[in-house]
Amino acid sequence: MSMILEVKDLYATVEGKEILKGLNLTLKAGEVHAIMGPNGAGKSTLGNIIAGRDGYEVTSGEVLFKGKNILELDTEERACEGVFLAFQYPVEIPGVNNTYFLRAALNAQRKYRGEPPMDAATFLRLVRKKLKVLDLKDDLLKRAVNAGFSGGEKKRNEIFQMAVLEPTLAILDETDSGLDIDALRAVANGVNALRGADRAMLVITHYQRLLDHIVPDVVHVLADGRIARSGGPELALILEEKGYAWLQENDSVAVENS
Amino acid sequence: MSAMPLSEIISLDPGFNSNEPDWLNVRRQLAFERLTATGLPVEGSENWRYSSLRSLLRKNLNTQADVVLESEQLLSLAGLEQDSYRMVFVNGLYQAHLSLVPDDIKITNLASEFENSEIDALLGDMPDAADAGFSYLNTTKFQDGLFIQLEKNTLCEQPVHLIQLSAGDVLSNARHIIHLADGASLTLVEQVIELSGQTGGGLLNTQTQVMLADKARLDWTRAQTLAGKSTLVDRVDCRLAAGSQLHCTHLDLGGLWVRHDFSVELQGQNGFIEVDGMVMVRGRQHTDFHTRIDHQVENCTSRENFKCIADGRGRGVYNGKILVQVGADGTDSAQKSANLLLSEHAEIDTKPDLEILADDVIASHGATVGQLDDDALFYMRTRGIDEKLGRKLLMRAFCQEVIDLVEVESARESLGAKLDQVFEEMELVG
Repeated sequence: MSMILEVKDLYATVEGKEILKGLNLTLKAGEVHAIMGPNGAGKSTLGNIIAGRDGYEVTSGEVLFKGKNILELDTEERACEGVFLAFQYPVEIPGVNNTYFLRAALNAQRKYRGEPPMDAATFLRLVRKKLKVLDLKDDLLKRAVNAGFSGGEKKRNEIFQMAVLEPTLAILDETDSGLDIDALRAVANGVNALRGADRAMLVITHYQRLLDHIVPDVVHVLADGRIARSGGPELALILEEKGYAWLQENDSVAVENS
Repeated sequence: MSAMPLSEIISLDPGFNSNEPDWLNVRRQLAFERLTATGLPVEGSENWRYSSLRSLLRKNLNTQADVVLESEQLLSLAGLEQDSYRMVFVNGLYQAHLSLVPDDIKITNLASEFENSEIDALLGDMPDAADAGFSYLNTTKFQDGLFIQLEKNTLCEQPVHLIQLSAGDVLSNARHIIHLADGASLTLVEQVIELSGQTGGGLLNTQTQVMLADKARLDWTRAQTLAGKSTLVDRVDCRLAAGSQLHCTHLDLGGLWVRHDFSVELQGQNGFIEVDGMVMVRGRQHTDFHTRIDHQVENCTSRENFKCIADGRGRGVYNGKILVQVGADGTDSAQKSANLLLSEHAEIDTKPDLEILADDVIASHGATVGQLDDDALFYMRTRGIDEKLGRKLLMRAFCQEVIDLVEVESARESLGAKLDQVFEEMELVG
């Protein structure tokens, strides 16, 4: 299996405060990894650094995407290379039509890859197909990007964008936060439909419940800026039962590291 | 007559013109006396404090330019169809061979109606104010303009286009009258355009009188895309009778120095006025938009939604005066001014100006000045859209609300296309 993401001994600060302290993580094609951890452990920081948000400073270490150092690339170049971040708080963009926005994004990525732009009719066929797979309503296409969307609709829209853009690496940043059980299931179904041999996913979550629906290959626990534990899906269950405090109590317990 | 500076032009006595009716000669003479007394507005005047006339007064202007314009050219320039109803003026002079109007409705040029005794009354009382100089100038000099008079319950199905072309360094003074009788309805799409191939740099001093009788309805789109050196001074006076409705959407993209005074008197109950504007200033452009809405009677509604994007060293001014007179209870008034400041050298001055003399009134107002949303830009970049395109999408989104208010689809689309063109050019200058 080919390497999709390699995070090597990553140290990073936000506003002068050290958040990541020697983080190591490897995702191969076809894998879904979950990152769990208490608030403030650095979960979202990792997603933001991979996506290239301003204000995060990498002080040492590297992030390789398909063997390439992506920290040198602009955010949009990373996206065009195949990195997708589903936001914890998707941004509302009133006045920008969802379909128009998504076609502009897809065509920007196609241009980057040296492909011709997709015309409006072909694009519409594509998005309708994706809507069907994700069981989403047509009116999503007519509305402005996330404007006035409910929490659930915003998260579904993230998954919809991911489905259309077909990234190689998808990072889902607390996609489950604020969702009721139906929306959670819908989002999970959408994510599962996109699992594939060429794609890797990094699911960042605070709670285990999402992982009932998106069963990961590997679960990592991020605490105090580094991976404290790694294991199979059962690790999530243990955490759910015993809480993150269990980590400190059992510092010496060896957990299989994949 | 050769070109002379505006400061000298205003001192030219119109004299007595035996080809014109007496009422017009009287009017011109009175206007000239007042102009001589007041001059053009100076900076000391509160209404003109942001708009200095100093360079305008020095501007050398001609009285006319040689213009040859074929129908094909005009249609392509204004984005019209062969059969679009249109009234065309070049530097304020009527172009019959370029115009097309329905024959069952009174849409004509004002000069052809000078013998009509009604015109004097329709032109209304002359303003008597220290800062009405441009209005006086227009009255001393106007040659022609649009005259629309719809009879009771007349509906003009097709939109009528008013095309005002500016050509060369010319002072033009157009005077328009729109008079809709009870229950009449009209859609008017006005464009102020630079005639390509000309040097630009003219001054258009236009004045429009709008009278809507009971339950009349006017939907009016006004788009201005003058060339970089041209100037526009535009005054509109509207009087709305009971139950009448006026929707007016402005788009200002061009011109070096632009001033609008848009005044509405709500004279009958249940009148409705919505006036909106999208102003774009960049380079050294200056656009000053003054609105004045006078609620004189009970139960009228007014809506204002103005947006401005300022880039480069551009300056956008908005002053929204709302007057609710004694007894005008049940007034419902809302005003919004939203602005985007894209450069540290650009300037926006926005001022709600409410004077409320009645008790039972809803009057809301809000003004914001902001920049493009960084979070939205980042979000777009994570989808592969680079910053340039992202900025363009956000600017377009900012404008869209106003563009969507334009009722005529073809006008809405052509305004959108003009905006996109401006955004493209902004990219070039960085």
